[in-house]
Amino acid sequence: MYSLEDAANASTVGRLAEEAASALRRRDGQALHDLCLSAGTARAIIVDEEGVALADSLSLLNGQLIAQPEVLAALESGESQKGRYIVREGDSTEPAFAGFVAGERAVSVYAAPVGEDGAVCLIADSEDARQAILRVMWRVLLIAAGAVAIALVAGLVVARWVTVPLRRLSAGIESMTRGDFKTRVEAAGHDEFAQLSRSFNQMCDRIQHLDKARGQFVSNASHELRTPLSTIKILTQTVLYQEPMDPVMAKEFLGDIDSEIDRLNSIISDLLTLVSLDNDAPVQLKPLNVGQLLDETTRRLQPLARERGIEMTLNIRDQIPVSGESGQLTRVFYNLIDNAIKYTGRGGHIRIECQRKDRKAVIRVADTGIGIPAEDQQHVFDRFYRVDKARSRETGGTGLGLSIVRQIVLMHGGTVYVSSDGLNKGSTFTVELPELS
Amino acid sequence: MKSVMKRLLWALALLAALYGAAAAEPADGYPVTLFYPTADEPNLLPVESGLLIGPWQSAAECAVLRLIDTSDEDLVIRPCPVGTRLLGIQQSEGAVVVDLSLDARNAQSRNALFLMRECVARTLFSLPGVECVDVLIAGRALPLSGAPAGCVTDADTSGRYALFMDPGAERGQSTAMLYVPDPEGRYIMPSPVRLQAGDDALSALIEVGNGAPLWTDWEMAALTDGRQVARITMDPEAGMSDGEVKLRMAALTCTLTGYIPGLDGVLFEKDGAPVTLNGTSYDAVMTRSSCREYLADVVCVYVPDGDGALRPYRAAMLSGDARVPYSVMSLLFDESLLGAYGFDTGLPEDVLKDALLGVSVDGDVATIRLSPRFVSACQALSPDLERLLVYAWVNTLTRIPPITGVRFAVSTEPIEALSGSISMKSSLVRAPGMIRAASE
Repeated sequence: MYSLEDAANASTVGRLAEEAASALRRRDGQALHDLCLSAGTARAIIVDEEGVALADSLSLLNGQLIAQPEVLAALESGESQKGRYIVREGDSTEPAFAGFVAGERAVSVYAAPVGEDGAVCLIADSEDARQAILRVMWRVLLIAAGAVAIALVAGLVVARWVTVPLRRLSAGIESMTRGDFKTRVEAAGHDEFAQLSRSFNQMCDRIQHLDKARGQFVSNASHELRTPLSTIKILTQTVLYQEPMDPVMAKEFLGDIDSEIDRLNSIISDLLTLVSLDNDAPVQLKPLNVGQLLDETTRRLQPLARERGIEMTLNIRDQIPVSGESGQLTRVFYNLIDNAIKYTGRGGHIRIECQRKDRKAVIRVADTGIGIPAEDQQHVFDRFYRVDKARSRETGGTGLGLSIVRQIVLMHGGTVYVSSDGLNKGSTFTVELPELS
Repeated sequence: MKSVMKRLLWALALLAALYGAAAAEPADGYPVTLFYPTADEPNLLPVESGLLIGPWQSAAECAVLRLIDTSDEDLVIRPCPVGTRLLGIQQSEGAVVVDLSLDARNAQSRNALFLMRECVARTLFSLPGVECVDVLIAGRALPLSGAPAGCVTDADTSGRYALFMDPGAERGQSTAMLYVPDPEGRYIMPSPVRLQAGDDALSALIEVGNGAPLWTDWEMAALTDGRQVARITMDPEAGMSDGEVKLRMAALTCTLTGYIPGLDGVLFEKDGAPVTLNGTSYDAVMTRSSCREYLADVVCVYVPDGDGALRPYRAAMLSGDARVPYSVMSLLFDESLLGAYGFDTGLPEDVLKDALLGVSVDGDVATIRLSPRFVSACQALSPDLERLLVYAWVNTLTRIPPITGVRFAVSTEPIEALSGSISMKSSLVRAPGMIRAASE
């Protein structure tokens, strides 16, 4: 806005300076006055080399020394000058503005030298331009304020949308930290926060379950450990305090004590194994041949199976390389086959297979044993879980074998599951391990 | 063939003069355009020149003298016959009356006489402010029978020429120089008026001059000596003083002789006898020359009024005085004149009366010399009063050619300020914006 006005006024003052040259040299007052009047609505003042006004559009400053800074600068520098002022009516500090403005107005001053003979000064009312700029400025401010307000509100809404679920989540985490595993957070909607909340709730379920399982495990472990100790205690007390003690019976009792001690050792050993697995002890994975491991394990347990009148067959369809720890995988296969032997009656069959499927090594151990009821199938891999406790004691099981199997298989990136059609209909344990690529 | 050769020679001379005029450096001095006749009537040859205006001279006077003094070496046709002198020149605002000596009648032809008037008129039109020119020979209208009578106004030459060449053409209106007494009743001033051309110019002039009820009867008459006169009968009980009547008689004489070609003078009678005024009997034919003591120029001075503007005041002044800046400026130091316009300087009257010591002109700059007492008293002037006073002087003096700038001095020492708001370090120039018309 100002630049347009500046260009027009600069052009006018330049024209006046050009046309004033001759009149100024001739000191032609009439011609100078006519030139001033040709400036239109702007006020023009023509000064001599001393800065004395020789002509004035308003004929108020004739003969007076014009101290307008732009005029003095133009006379001194020989270059055009311009300035802007806000002038109030009656402002006596700028005589060039006196009588020119009414009220408060923006005024632009332009000065151009006329050779060395003087200068032309143009005083133009630029209030319209100033008002236009102010209007634009106010509009921009209003729009900016509105934008800030909207951004603020939107920010508050978004913040609220973000922080409320986060606060809820944070509260839930704090509760969990304090040990309140029952804590759950609200998970309404389908956004990321709802998903996060649902994941948190799932985690809480799992932790609660694990805590429960831990409690149960401790309880079971205590029970499992106390049971043989109690038996040992009873037998020992019998031997110590029963008078007279039959030596044969005493020997039998000592033999039982010995068995219980072995049992206790097995439980402790398995517990230690599980603890080790739980602590994610570093595993040295190496390329292994699953079929070979199965073959070795099967050979070791073949005598036991034969002794029990169980037929055990091994069918290795594919030689499948996997990445794993030899000892651990051997234990897996040993526990599964051993279990199958324990829970299959005389004349039963155990079939062991190994094949490749979908880039996995699939190992199946199927027996014709006592089977597993459907309601127990999902728990058989839990620690100390026994479908039939009495039977398990008889066979010397600790209740931890399948837990160990599952832990090792999971460490190798595989899966293990069981299927059974029910009691006395046998069971099939399937282990899937990723093939070594 | 001879006339063709003659025209060819004049054309060559014209071209040479034009070339000379174009090639010449712009002349110093007050700018004027001099007009000279050419063989290609009625076209005139304009020559840009500069006037050196001497003391007690006006630009109009200098211009006419330049025309009259044209010599053969200037390679132009002389507009006036050899021996022509300037008897007098009167100027009143835009009207100029040029009175040439009888030698001007020695023009070679009627056409030459016409062109002489055209040259004088158009030369004077090139001066600022001149709008109407009346050329007389020995105080009488040009003997251009059949030509348009009266003054020449700034209109196209061809129109006037056409009327001049066709005496029978419809004249329409013409401009007559009417002489009127000044308000103070001391002088008569020329004032152009429009007049419907007709056969009875005498009646027309008397009527337009509003001579009634002083003039009761009038007629054209031929005296026994062959002079053509206007016989005017006066009202014995007109109710005017003798001085006023004399002034009116002079005014009418100059009016009639300046307009009616061939009129030698005016004879005034009262009750069939010569008029007696102030003990003097006016039985002779009055001519312009007998009225010279009343012929005045009109000068314009600018008087500050009570509203902060400058108002033009016109005063009649003898031509000699009108050209003297000091005489003109003296009017502005008259307390009664200033008071009449509502301007109060606040200065003591005696201070104002003796304030003006003199006005000198050097080139185009005039210097006003003020008395120390006056300058001292002016220290108390308000900025507005100072501005009005100073620019009243400046605008008045810059009306007098060749003055374009005004300086100030106390006695002989230059001063740079009066009360301080106006800077007088360099010469001040005209400020026309401060002037308001008398009627505003």
